[in-house]
Amino acid sequence: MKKYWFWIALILLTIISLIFEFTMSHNSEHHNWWSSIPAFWIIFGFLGCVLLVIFSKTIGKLFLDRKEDYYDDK
Amino acid sequence: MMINEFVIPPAIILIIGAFVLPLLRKKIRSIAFLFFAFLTLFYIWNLPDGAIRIAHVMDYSLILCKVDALSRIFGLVFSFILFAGGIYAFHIKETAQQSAALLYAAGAIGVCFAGDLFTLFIFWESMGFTSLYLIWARRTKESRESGFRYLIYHVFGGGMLFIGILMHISETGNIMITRLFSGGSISSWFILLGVAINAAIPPLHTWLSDAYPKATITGAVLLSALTTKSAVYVLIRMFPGWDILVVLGVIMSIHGVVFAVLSNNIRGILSYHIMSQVGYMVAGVGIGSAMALNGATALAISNVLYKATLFMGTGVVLYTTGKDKLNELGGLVKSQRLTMCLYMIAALAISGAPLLNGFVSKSLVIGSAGEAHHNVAMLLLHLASVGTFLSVGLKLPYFTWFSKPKDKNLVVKATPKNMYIAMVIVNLLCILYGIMPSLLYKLLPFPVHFKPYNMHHLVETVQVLTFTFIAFWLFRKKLKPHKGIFLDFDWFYRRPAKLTRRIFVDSTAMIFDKADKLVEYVTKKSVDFGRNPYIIFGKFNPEKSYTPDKYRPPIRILLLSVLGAFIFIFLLGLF
Repeated sequence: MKKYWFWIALILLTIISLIFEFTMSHNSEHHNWWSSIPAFWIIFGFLGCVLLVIFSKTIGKLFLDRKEDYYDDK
Repeated sequence: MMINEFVIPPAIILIIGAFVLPLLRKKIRSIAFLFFAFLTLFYIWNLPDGAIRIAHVMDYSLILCKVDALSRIFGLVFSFILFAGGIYAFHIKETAQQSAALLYAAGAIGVCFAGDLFTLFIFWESMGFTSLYLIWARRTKESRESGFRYLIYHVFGGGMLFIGILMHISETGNIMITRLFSGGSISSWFILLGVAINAAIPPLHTWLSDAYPKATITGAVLLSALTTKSAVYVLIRMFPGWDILVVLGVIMSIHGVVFAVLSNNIRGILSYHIMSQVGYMVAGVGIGSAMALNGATALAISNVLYKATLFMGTGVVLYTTGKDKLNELGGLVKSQRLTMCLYMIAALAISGAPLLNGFVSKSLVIGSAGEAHHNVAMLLLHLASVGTFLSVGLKLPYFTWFSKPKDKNLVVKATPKNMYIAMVIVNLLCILYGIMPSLLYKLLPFPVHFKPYNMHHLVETVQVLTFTFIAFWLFRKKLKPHKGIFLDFDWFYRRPAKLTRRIFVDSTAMIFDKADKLVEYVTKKSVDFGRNPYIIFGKFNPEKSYTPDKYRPPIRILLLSVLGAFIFIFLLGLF
């Protein structure tokens, strides 16, 4: 039940933020190429997180992961 | 301006405290610790701008204390965190640690108020040695080894700084701390190198991720606050507008985030996020505008606060369970709901959630990057923000408090009350600055014309954080912690350490060993020979001494040789 409310709150937050995004006036002082992409920060947050996880875990698996005693003297 | 003689450098209070503390009764030492920390905080708060203390040493006038807005705000937050750290460590009755902590903070505060390079250097070096004790005091094999690496790193960094300072003085004849200009002389680069080591700029950052997770529970709180942030202070003072710092800062913030995803140690994750956060500040210094320097300062202040709380929270986990590896933790929420909540406030603050101090300070740096048209840097800093929320705000708490317990029989000790009090106090300040940013902004070195709470900014933050959470939830299986370590730049000195040891230590030892054996052999043979010279003729027992009776040659040999000699002389006479 608790979890259920949590997700509803998240969805509500997203919807509210989207409403504000599309209704508010664009301030022109810092207009970047991404300002014109709708819901850019949703995409950014989601893809950024996924990319970070996949990228980190991949370079971890390929190059960096070692056993705990890797630096110990044997 | 305050009269010279009456200004006591704030660090002196703490240094006196460190030497008075061992003389007091054990019961009141923790209280005395708080007293000295609070006295320093109060004293710095009341120091007027422009107060100065000069000491004349030989031909130089050393400026032991010089107060302006920038040094004051750093001094304030350092003494505040020393006070909060004192509450957090109230139950610890170990005088050496307490004195070391006071001296360590004295070093950091001394750096903030130093007006000349010599004073700066002395306090800078004192920080290295005193903080080392907070690592060694854990008294494990790992902390001992890692402490040695920490020491070597900081001695090297201090050496670079000193070379830079000496070169700078011989070039300019000026020992004051002044702004250095980019592309300047080689001396500036040496100073930058020395400072970069303490600021943990990659690839010189590994002392941090190596040593901080192995420090004492209470020591790590201070370590996380003082060394890197005092380096940021020096960067703001001396290196604003160095373009290379923008690049390094952005790399740093991403590097920290990526490695925090890999880390399995709770305080390891936080250590990499110190680096990531300092990356923002370094980038801010690199941009160098008034807004960016304000941002770097505000973020340093905020980061000291929430990072200390995060280390306090993970410290509680380590204290109560004795474990700091994510793959051994889990399901602690039932017994540690309050700790989790206090940790989460700080975690949201570091992720830049609205109403907390991270939001109002991070946006200054990112905003200044936008203003300076560093679009790529701006996006990458946003990405680092996503990573911060991912590791500190989601991965760490999820696998520590929420996921299924890995060890059902894990005994959870009670948390000392003072730990909670410390976390609450620091968190209150995080919230206060988040709700009323003007309180923070008015302490900054430059006037602030920036309103963090605008619609664009709120929408952006809410969307990023929400969807980072959703992505985490979908991919949380991939983040499942597992045992092990991973390589970082420390590979370059830890791995060759074996080879170096083989070449310089093992081989030398081998030569000495061989020489030793040889000497022993020769000695033994000559002793045997002295005892019984006959052994060179054959197999006599070397243990038995020469006795003339036993070894006397037959008489015929003697007669024969005498006869032979006569014949020989006779023959010589003939010719």
